[in-house]
Amino acid sequence: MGFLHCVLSEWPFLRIRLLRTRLGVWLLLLLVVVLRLDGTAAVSDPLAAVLLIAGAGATLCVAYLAGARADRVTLGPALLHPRSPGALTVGRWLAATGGAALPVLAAAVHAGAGVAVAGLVTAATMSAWALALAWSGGNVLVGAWLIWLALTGGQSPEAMLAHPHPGALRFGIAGALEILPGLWRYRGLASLEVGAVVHAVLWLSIGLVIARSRVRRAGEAP
Amino acid sequence: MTSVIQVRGVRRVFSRGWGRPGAVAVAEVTFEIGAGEVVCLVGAAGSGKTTLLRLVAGTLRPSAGIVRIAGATGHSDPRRSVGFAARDPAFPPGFTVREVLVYCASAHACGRERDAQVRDALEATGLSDRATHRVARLPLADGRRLLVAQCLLGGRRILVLDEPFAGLDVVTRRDLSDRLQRLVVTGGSVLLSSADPVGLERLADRVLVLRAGRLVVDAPATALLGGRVLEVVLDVPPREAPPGFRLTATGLEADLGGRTAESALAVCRAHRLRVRASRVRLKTLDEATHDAAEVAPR
Repeated sequence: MGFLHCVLSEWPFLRIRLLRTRLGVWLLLLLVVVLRLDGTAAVSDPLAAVLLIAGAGATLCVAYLAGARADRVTLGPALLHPRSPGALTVGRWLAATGGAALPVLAAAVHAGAGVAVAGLVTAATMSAWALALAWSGGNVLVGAWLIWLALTGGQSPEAMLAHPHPGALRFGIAGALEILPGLWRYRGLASLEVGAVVHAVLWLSIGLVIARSRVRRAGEAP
Repeated sequence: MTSVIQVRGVRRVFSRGWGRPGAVAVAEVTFEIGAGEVVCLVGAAGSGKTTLLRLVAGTLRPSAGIVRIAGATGHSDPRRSVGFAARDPAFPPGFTVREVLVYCASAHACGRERDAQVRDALEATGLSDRATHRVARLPLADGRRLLVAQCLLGGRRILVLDEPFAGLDVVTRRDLSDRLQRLVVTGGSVLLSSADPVGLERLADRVLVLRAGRLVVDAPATALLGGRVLEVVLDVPPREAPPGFRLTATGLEADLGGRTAESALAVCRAHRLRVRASRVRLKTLDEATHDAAEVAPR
């Protein structure tokens, strides 16, 4: 079968995990909690809320669709049928992005098309990156990434270095915020800022390439 | 008989890195498997059985030599012709039996053709009544059946099965064995491995014995199974076995070959051994393969 057909065959993972695991509940909780916090804040920032939902939602979806040990063990057997590692990777990435898109679109209903697009692109980038983490180190890395997102949120490197004596730790965190996929940077996606778009596309590609190489290795494992 | 699998001088070396010499898992193995043939690959743990199966299934590339499937060249995808079942069942959690098969079949076909393949695979492996069961709750026997069902998807008639009977009880073994025989009758071919060949007599047409990555025996199962064994229970087992005998826990044992049981027992009496009881039985496949591997040159 063709590449596209094999990509689409990964979609049942989303349906099954949404309905038969706690993924659906977690996504709903994420949506409600973030919107509630945004609603009670002194200054409402729908874009930040949507981006946080996109990032955390994509990471959660990857954890439930691909990060568990039992899921990683089945990567090799999946390649015993004529499907390519690339098709499997793209299919699972699209499924995770699709799962994250549900709360993103729900949150962006009243925020405008620009915010929705920023949320969807952020979800796509974050799920590709989380997929690379999941197939490199399992849900331990995915969980660490989720904690990183929760702690740093939409903070920018400049805000991190605003302290009079930043110290090595703050410099390190600021460096990571500058390089890694970051919610602060993807605010620019809402206004189609070139730097944000390039950064998102670059990390999306890096994530997919790493994930694909991990799948290929799983298929060759002795 | 048309050969569906041709393995010629296949060698596989696993790199150990840092310039150290690689580990030779399979060395210069050559054999053929014909259509409608069941070949059993036996050998001790670590003898290279799984590596050889993976080479045949195309999930590993040989370091040297050629694996040819049903006359195809090296450029065609062997996964379209060969179904490979790994030793340990591993299925996506949360899926049902049918969903696992639909997922796997999606790589071969779509729409009605895919559904027909799934239905046929469920029927052929006796899983039709378990189609809606979650795979996480399947007993081992059904897990192994599901592995075989996956191999049948896409109309594949060459099955490569790694330890398909490991951990199964006698009844389930027999059932799975019968289902594989039914497949073979309709033109399929099976290459299966087993660390324990007990009970494979009914299934195997040919037996390959691997030792340290080398093929030391390639013989029809009937040739290996033809032998008779004399078991002798003694009042006092001797310290050394008489010529042609070997010591056992209760006495002695000998391959009769062309001799009669009486002539063999006469040897015991000549050595003044007090025979309490004796019986003649047919050699089992595990004995035959063990003996064949022992006499083969190292």
